Amino acid sequence: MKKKTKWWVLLAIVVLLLAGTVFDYFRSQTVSIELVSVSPETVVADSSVPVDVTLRVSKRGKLAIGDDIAALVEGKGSMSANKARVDENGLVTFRYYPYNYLEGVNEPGTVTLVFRNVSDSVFIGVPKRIRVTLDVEKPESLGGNTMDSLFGK
Amino acid sequence: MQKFQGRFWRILCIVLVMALLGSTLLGCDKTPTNNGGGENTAPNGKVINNGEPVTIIVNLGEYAPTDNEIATENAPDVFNSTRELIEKFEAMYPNVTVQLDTSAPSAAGDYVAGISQWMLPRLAAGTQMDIATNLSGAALFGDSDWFMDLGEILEESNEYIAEGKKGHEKWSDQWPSYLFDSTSIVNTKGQIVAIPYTLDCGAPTAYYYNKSIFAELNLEIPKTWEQLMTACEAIRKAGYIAFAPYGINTNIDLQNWDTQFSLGPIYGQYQLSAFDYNGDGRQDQLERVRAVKEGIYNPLENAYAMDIWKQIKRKYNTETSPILEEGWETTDYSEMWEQGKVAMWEDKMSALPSMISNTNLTFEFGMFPPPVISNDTYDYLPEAVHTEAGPNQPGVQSCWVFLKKSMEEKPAGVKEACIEFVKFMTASENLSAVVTEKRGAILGSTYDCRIPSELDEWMQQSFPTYPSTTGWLTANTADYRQQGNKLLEQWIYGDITDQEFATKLNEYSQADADKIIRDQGLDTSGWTIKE
Repeated sequence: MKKKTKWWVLLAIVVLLLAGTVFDYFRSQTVSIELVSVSPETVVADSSVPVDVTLRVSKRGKLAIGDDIAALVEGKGSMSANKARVDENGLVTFRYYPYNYLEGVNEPGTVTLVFRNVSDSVFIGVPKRIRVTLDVEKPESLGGNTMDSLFGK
Repeated sequence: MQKFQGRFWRILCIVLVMALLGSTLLGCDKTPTNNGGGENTAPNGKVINNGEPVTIIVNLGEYAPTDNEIATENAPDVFNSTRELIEKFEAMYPNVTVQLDTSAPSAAGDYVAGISQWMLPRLAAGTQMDIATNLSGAALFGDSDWFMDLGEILEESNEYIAEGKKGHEKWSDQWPSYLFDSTSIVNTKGQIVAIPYTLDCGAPTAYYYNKSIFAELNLEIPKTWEQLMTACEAIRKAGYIAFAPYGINTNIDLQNWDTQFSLGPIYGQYQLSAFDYNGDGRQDQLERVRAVKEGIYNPLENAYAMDIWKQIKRKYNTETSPILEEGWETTDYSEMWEQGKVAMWEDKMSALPSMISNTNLTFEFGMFPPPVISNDTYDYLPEAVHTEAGPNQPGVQSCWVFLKKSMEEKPAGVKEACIEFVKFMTASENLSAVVTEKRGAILGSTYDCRIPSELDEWMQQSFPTYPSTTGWLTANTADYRQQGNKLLEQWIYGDITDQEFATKLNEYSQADADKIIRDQGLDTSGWTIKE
């Protein structure tokens, strides 16, 4: 009897996990994340020229106001924030700071930004994702400030 | 049924093992990052150790690369620049292996004692790293004889810096000269025992503030200690929590952030003419020890030397504090901060990325540097002076040290490789890659090094200015610091009188200075010693 109970408990856990995954999967299908703009369109390997990536997020046909969108950089460079909230227009903007060109270390290439809605999963976490790939070009020269501006020449 | 149960368990086990294997493989994604195809040739065909194999052991501390190279949802924070720089260096010198020492001192308890307990057994056993960025340079162990004198090496050229740029001809020219006056770089004997690597962003700490509360109460950004107290009183009167202290400051410590950034530098400035014995406009470690022995820090004899600790007590004793609430030592203010109930949040500069990412914040936040004490608290103090924009001579955050034992006892090739490696790592364009990846937590120490764009707004702030001193450091060795901290705690909580506190603090301070004089064999002739 004891063994039988254990068996049923285990089975119930597996079924629950499966049901949760299926539920979250179908729930994520009702979410839409679309790329609105990448500004500037040409991305250069210069951290002083940040790139604003704007997304529109909707859920079941309505703007997903207040949902949290998480961002991840697959490759070099960084985001000013790894999470941001969808505004009243259904938009969310992330700022990506590219890496600085450095011969033999930071060469031009592609960077993929992954965004996912982390507010739409209930059980297991099957969030809707969008991947935005940026081609990072070699800059003519690096801009921005250097420590010379603090130290003086 | 029995047979069916057995089969079920077998199937379940297989499914779980496959799932585990799958997740492990996914988690260990070793897709290489773009390491570029630039030329990796040594400058002027240089060869290290006559081309014979040599291994150097490097401890990069907080600049060590993360285990994962690619950010994942479970491990989103990666740090790759030092890994890639090491790969480039090893490609230039295929006979050199850079081995990372990833050990670290205990984070619990006294910081100085932690490093001491970590390093002493390793030095005794000869298992120390060869070079490191996480041993605090001259500031804590500069007099311990752990580190090599680097004065001569800094006179050499640095061929990893382009011709015509500062530092190519003479390595030390790569840095502004004030850094070689820093007590993090120069020890009591005046030896350069560390090489600057990264700098604080003005101050390593910041006050994050709720702009809505400040606007509602018509408050200006406080620039002085007294303005901070006044602002906090107004904030508390309006029903808000004025100030959430950073975790480390919930331990009573003579060298808490207030002593280091708000009070100590100004008291150092106030007494500069008394303890700047060589008249060079700054205070070095030797002058600090002499000042202790000549009674300048003695709170029994000098009212000002007691006033600084009275200000610490004023803040941390909730019976008198205009800043802190009852129970501040154990309260987690995070949720209240997010809900907009706390006006100021004390934290490190490195908290900025996570603060920006916190979508639970219900308000817009700003930042300002720690306010400094001025003549609006005590008439005798100098008036606080601030820059128009940007920090004035930011202090050393990390520096390279060469472990003397390694340099003297290991084959000469190790020293040669270590020197080349540090020259390579400190070349401005390489340092820029490290600083940029730290997302605004630090600045580089060299001319030409790029300022992270995340700091654009911060750099427009006004910062306090004061001369280079050791701050208000009454005791510097681990044992006496710990005893002093305990004493301060007893005094703040009313367990001992002002007289007892002042007497004991002076005793510890004198004993600490005596130990340094003994250990370093310092010549005290000409000193007017007052016990």
